[in-house]
Amino acid sequence: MDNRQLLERLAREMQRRGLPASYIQRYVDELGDHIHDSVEERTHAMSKDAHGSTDLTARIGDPIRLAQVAAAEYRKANFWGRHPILTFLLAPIPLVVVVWIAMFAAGMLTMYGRNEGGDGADSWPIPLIWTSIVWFRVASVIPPALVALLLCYLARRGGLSWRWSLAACLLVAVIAGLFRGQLELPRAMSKGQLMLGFGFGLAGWFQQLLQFSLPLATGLGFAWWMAQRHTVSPSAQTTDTVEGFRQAA
Amino acid sequence: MTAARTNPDFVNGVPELLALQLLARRPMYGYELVRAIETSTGQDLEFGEGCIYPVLHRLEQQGALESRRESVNGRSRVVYRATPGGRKKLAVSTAAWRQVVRAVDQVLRGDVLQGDQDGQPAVA
Repeated sequence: MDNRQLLERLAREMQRRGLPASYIQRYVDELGDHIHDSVEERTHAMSKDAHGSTDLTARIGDPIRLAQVAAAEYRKANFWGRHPILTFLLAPIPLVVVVWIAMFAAGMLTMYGRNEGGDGADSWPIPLIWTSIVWFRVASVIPPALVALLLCYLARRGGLSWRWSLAACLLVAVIAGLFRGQLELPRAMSKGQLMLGFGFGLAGWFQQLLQFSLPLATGLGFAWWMAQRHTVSPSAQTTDTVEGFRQAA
Repeated sequence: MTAARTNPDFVNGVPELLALQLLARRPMYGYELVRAIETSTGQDLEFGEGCIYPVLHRLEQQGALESRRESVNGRSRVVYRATPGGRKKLAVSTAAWRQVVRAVDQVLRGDVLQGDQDGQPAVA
């Protein structure tokens, strides 16, 4: 295997493991410099293998092994890379619940502030009533989708397989699909009510379907995108680097 | 005696320790660092030279190292240097390494707890 083949194979193997292009580029660049120095030093030393590259793999390392090391080290650099079970299997559901609570609490506090006079929604302007209703719907749908996006981003940043993010998105989708809520705005004669829980019923099925679909679509979209990335050849930039190195060497 | 080509599994964390130690002495680029490891270990430790870069990148991401592209001997090189955080990490890792070496060495030397000699479990 010559220098160019080694670097190209390394880039392909790293790409197959889902590592980001910028990281692959950096590694290939530095390894190209390294091989260049190694060849130059051996040429100057007039050693037996000065012009050969037969032991290149033995010296630098097998590209598959190097890609494995790179992926392992890349994962070790982040918490979610070191603890994928915790991040992608245990944390998603509590995380969605926390974001839901934050969103609903923000809405409730705003409504409470508007209701200080005690007249309730009867005295609110129409846009405010609609904003409250829309906020309630949005607060049911958006948090699971945001958490799914975050988990996909973390999987990408951690160089982890799309299987982790898909499993996490599926968990989020299930919990989101089961989530039900009911909002009653405060009136002059009655306090407002916000009821949250889990279950399934025909009333509100569309909302629940939407809550289920968005995180799942996010996970599937990310998995498809990752699969596409793995099937393309190394980036033109990487090939340029390899070509540049070959000429220099 | 010829050294084994492949190192045992228990030296997995050694490249990190050596890299931190050598970079704490002076900034170096990757190739220079690999040569320094070879020289300072008397070539007793062997690993694929390319394996050092992922270790350096991780240490940089963890804040133990910082890197900068610099011109060295007319060529552009990524030069790594240890940060104050890296020096602290080195001190912790060195202490842990020494503790492990001492403990394992104690076992390998055959030091036994009282009670083992007559086949009975040791009592603290």
